[in-house]
Amino acid sequence: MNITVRLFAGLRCENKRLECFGKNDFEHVLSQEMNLEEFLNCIGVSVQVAKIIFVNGLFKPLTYVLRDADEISIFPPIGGG
Amino acid sequence: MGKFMLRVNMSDLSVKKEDVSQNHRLLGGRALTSTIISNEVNPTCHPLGPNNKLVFAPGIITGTTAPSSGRLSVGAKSPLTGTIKEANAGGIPGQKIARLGIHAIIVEGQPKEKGKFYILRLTPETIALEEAGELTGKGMYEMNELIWEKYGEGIGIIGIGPAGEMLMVNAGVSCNDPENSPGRYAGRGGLGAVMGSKGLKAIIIEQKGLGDIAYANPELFKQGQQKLTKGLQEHAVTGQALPTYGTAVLINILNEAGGLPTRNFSSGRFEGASKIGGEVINEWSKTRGGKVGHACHPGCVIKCSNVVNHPDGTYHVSPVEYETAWSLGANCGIDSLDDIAEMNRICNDIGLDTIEAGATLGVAMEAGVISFGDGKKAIELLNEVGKGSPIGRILGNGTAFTGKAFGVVRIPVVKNQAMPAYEPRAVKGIGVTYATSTMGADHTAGYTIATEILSVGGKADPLVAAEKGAMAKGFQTATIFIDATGYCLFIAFAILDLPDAFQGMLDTINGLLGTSYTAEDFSRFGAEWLALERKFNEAAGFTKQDDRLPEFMYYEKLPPHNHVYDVPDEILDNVHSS
Repeated sequence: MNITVRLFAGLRCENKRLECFGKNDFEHVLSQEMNLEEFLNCIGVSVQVAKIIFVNGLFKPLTYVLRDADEISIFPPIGGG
Repeated sequence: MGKFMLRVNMSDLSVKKEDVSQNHRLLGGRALTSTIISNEVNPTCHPLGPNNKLVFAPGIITGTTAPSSGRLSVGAKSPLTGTIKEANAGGIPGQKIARLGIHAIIVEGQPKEKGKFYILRLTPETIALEEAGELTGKGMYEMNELIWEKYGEGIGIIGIGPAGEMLMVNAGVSCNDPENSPGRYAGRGGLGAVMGSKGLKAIIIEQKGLGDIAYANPELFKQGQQKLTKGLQEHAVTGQALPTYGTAVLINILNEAGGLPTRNFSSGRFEGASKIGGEVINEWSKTRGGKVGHACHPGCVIKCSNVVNHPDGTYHVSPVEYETAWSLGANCGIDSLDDIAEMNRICNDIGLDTIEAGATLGVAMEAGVISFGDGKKAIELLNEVGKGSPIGRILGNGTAFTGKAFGVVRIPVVKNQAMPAYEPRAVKGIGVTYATSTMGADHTAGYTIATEILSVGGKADPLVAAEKGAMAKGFQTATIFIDATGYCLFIAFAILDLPDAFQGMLDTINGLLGTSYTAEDFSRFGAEWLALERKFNEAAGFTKQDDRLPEFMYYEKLPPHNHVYDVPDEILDNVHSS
């Protein structure tokens, strides 16, 4: 299962064992089914920091189970105007 | 030191001090400008004629040592929208005016001699109108430099560029920052043209130190100041994200949400978004110099401003905000942040609102005047505005005017004012604010984005129409209160989430004024002041049919979500009547 991941505003993959370590824009192959919370744990990004998560442009909860070709965008708390 | 009002009559060039009336004593900022405009200006007057008035009012708390509280409100009948108008800005003039004891400045009348400009000079000893002389016709950068050379460094400057002098209805009112950049604008609604119509090129304020502000309950004020400061420093948005990335950090999130208006509101996604956002500005501050975490006025603890440099490390412009990076970037299909920075500098110099300028260019691009994405041609076009050439005059009069001139149907305005950087078809609540605000399309009038996109103060699905009327109303009433206080609207990110910070905000006001305002008063006053503004607009001829988005948004589906605007008219009609 292939997914596309984009991390913003300083977020990076923090898991040294993964090929995407240190990256903020990468393709990723999931070997097993997992939800967003499990995926965040997998890439070493805390669920407290990952405040806003879109999948394919739509807000999704941490319980959302990832599907093939999903595009995931993750933001820490941000604001502006 | 007693506070006083300053009435400046440009017809006979007189300046008079007046006592602050009981009705005005507890007001400030937008509440005060709108009260004065409502009481003194005929709603049907021509906005650029002798019967309009231009009011400058520091917020209630402006000039005190409360954090992030330096806002200055500017109000008048708008020549862009025809409605009542308040735009507010940071920078250093607001605090200085307040510390001179000036409650508000009311500019009225018109000079007999057309094309003659004056400056209003305010010092602790002197209040005087002087001929603008060599400052006439100057761009804001040169003017600010000349004023600091002549009158001294650190002086507060409120001014207009050539656009304001030429009475273009996209002219804004500039306020300088601590380094004398003219980039802090009360930009929206053409207030610079009103200032130009009064023959007023600048107000210069010579004031040093913290002034002599009387606190009714200094201990309560201090407690409030500490609570609010703590909240602003601890909240992740005001304490970390804004000082690190600035407001342009929103480019990517709106793009991911499919709500970043692109190529004149024809899409909600821009393929070049990642090149023009706050992350790039942050990166440039390390590789080119410049600055993030820049404060637009002393005492700001949020510091969302920035300084953007050229590739060679020399100064280019300050600040590049989200709205500007969007309007002159994504909305024009331009993905060069250097080109955006240059257009931003030109807008600051000529004296244009960057939101309206970018939306205008987007419409001109749709008409084929130049191509989407052509940054260099866009720079040339903007320069025409400053020259006052025929094409420049068209563009300087804004999005709706330009759209009509070139036969464009997709004109993204409400009450003639261009929409800012949030697509209502992808973020439904902000469309309610655009449609029903007293100011025309204005995100700051009721920032539903906080809950619809940023998950601050709650969380709502941006694509769903239900409940958005009540949400927009709540934000509009809260916003007008903050606009009255003189606090930066960005304190909302912290006070919406942190009860202690909210109480701190109230404590500072009660500590200063000796009042006992509660959270309920916050909403009650907000509703009263909004009603006052609505009443002015109704008397000026506005009806509920004006509280609508442009028709194309109801039948053109917006990619990527392919939504039209589907908030029913009844919801829009009930925002202010329920």
